[in-house]
Formats: sequence, structure tokens, C-alpha cells
Amino acid sequence: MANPVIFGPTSAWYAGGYDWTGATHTIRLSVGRAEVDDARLGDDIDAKYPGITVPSLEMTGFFSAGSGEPDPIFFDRIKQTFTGVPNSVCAENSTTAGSVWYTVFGTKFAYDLGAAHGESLQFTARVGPRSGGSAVAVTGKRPGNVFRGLLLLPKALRTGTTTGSAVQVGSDGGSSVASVLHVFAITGGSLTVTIESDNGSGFPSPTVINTHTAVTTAPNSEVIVSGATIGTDTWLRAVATYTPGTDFTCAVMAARSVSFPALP
Amino acid sequence: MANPTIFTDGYFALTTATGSSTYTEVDGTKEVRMPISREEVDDAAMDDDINAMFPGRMNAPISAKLRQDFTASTGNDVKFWTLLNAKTAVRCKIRATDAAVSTTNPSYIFNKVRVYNITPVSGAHGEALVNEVELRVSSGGTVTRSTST
Repeated sequence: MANPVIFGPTSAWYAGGYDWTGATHTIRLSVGRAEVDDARLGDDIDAKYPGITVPSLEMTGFFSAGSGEPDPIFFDRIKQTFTGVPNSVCAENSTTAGSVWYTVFGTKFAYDLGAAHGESLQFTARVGPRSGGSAVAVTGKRPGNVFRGLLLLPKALRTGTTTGSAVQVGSDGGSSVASVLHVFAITGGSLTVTIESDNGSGFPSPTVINTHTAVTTAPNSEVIVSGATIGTDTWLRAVATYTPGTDFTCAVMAARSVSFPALP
Repeated sequence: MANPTIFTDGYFALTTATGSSTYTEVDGTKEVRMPISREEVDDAAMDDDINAMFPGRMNAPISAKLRQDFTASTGNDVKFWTLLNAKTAVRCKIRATDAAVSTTNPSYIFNKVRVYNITPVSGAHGEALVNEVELRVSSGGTVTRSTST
């Protein structure tokens, strides 16, 4: 049995290209499915069937209001015209390739501030999913807004094109790939991140499965889900192609997503 | 009267499908609850001077708290995420003690359940993460008490 996971020392929270790790002390993520009544004649029990996904993401942290700090950003995101960003949370090993990250694509629905005299002023923010969510390679499909992925490219300052570690994700022969990109900073140049799949850790014949939109400004973020599937490939990696520029800072996660039905 | 059962080595196990009878114990279980009840259907009729009820459908939700474990392929995190995401129906068996089933250690067997909720990242700084999972019985499912299996 593995050791318990102590939340905090190697945990992280990224939201739309902002790293709020240093502002937060508590995260509550719950992922559920609606309980749809499904009792039929012949059932002697209040039977249920799993409905749509119901995520709940709430974080509590310390108030700060400078440029690029949580307060102006959170307040600005509580509005109908803000279409949402990926909120990615990791419980442990957040800077190690292969660590587990959960991403909820959504927007702020609540931002609570308050404290009594003498207390530390803290915030509680709640993220809710938005309709549609990810950009999709297959027009008209809505892939859902919660992903359990693995870290392909840890957050770090880089000055040139970088190929991330090979990460084994397994395969069920029919999965699309959902990839999440957070760009925290970029100083000149243009950054294009692609996700590649292969059947070997050495990537002898990689297939580009996802191509993110080129980024020239930060903060920036994107979630896309491939229209194609990775078939029998079991390895993924991220390639951050940088047209200089001075430097950039980004992180990339990817998950196997439920495969889409074929287009008519 | 028997001594109380101190719940230190309970048995909480799932199969991989409803067609399987191979149960795998859920590692890292800290708490298991399985309240069983029947709906209270109003049954008072003329001549009753009391709020008479009749037992209706059964309710048997299962909730468990698990030590969170991100171990690839076998940890609780990937196991319950996969069940939740794929809506896979499995069997569940719960006993008070992880020992042979007997008249003093019966099995409660849920033959068709699905996962409805998980809390994969839920804690304050410094806490040990706990994954709280919820399971519900699906249509066609039953709850049985067995002293032999």
C-alpha cells in the first residue's frame, strides 16, 4: 500500500495560465454523476442510473490584489461574457512528468471574501463548468469538461524548442486525447505545442494527435480534444516548438478521453 | 451478549463487472457505511389512530472513505475514476471483518452497483488526502445477506 498523500508540499493549481499555487491552502474537488431515477417494475430497490457529470471545484486561499494576483482576476471572471478556462489541480508531484492532474474547464461562479477583525483575510472561489468547454477537432462535439490527465511537460522556464518526456497512458484502442495547455509567460516569439502518440517510449514513429493554437501572449490556456483516436499507441509526449523570442513558461497535461462516435 | 465489534479490519470489495464473482478488496479503506432502509409509504386507513406506514422500496447507498492513492494502474484514484467515467456496473461485498464469512461475520452483497461520486483532490494544506466515494444500486440490482459466500 502506498504512503498517504499529504496535500500541499508538492500540490499545485493552475487556472487559465495563472499559477495560483502560492495563493491557495485548500482545494475541494468532487466529481460525480447525476443520480437519475431508474427503478423499473420488478425492482425492489430505489435504482439509479449515472447521468451527466457534475463537478464541484472550490478553493480557499489568501487575499492579494496586485497586478496578476487573484483578486482582480477572480472578480473579472465572474461574468457571463467570460467563457471559461481550464482549472488544473494536482495533489502531489506537480513538477514531475507523469503526475496526475484533474482539469475542470469552467468559469468563476463565486468569489467570497471576508474575515473578522484580526483574522487573515481569505477568499473562497468556486468554479463551475461552462457549456461546450473545449475547442474540439470535430465540429459540433461537446467532449465534457472534466479530465483526469498526466503531466507531459512540467512548468518551467524554457528558452528553446523542448520535447517533453514520454509518458505511458495505456490504450483501449479507441480513445481520443484531451490535452491542456497553460502558458504562464512568454517573452517574444511564438509557441506552438503539439501532442504526439506512439507505440514505443522512444517514439520511433510519432503521430501528431493534437496541435494547440500558436501562442504569443500570456497568460493563455487551451483545452482541445482530438477528433482522431490514438488506436493502439500507449505513449504520449508534448513538443513545445518555440520560434524565438527570449523565453517562455508553460505546462501541458493530457488525458485519454472517451472516443467520439463517427461522423455521419 | 457478544462483545462489540471494533471496526478495524472491515472488508470492502468490488468485482470488475457484474458477471464476475472475483472480488478484490479496496485497499486503503478508512471508513465504509451502508445504511439500508425501506421507504416509508403512508398506509394509514380508516380506523387507524396512528401514522401507519408500510415498507416500500429499499434504499441501500454505499459510501466509503479511502486513503487517496495515485499509483498508476492500480491505485484507488485511477480505479474509481475509471468506474465513474465508464459507468461500469460491478458487484460489491461488505463484511464487518476481513475473515471468512460466517453466521457471525455475514456478507452484504450488492450485485449491481455503479460509482456516482469521488473526491480526488480534496484537502487543506498538510492534510492526508481522502477520496470519498459513493456507490448506488442500479436497476436489476439487489442486496442480499449471506452467511456462506
